[in-house]
Amino acid sequence: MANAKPATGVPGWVKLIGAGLLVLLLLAAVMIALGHNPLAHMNHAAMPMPAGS
Amino acid sequence: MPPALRKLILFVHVVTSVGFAGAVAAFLVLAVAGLDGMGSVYLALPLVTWWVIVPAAVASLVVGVVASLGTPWGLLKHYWVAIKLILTAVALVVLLLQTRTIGALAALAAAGAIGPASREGQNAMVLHSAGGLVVLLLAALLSTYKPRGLTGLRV
Repeated sequence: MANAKPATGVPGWVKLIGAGLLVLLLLAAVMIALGHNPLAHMNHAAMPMPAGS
Repeated sequence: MPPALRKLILFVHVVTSVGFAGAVAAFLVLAVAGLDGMGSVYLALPLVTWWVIVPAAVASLVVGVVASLGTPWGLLKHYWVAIKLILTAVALVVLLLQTRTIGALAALAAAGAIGPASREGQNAMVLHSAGGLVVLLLAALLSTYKPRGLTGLRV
């Protein structure tokens, strides 16, 4: 007789999405650790200043 | 919650969520055009971001929480609702983190200074809007198919 699927536990699709989010988080952490900052090379003088400043 | 109010909240949630994804898709097209040499598109990005994407994202998240709590689905009872909440929250946080780069690129475009120094920021616009669109489409997919699975929580 085939084994019945367990009714409890975390579904596979949840684990898949969780793993995907974890990979993205790790990737972001690695990029930050490697010093990637899109703003770093830009001319900060050209950045918009708050009104009245 | 009365059925008429529930329907109205669901309507607002659908419109803001689809609007959020649609606006991010438009942003992605502009970001790719900018990377392709059309530097003036960066002038439009803060407008699209602050007047469409951010309001739609915040409304989608807030109304989504209200909608889920006002129905038997709950906010954390079902995995698909809880995962949608996480995906939308992550998309909103990443969006807000990117607003400084969006503003900086617009300022550079206004000064006619889009060039090699802004390349990393330009790449970040394409990467983050493409990633955001995938995340939002995944959330829409979960809403449509509502895959089974209970978390065991009662909220």
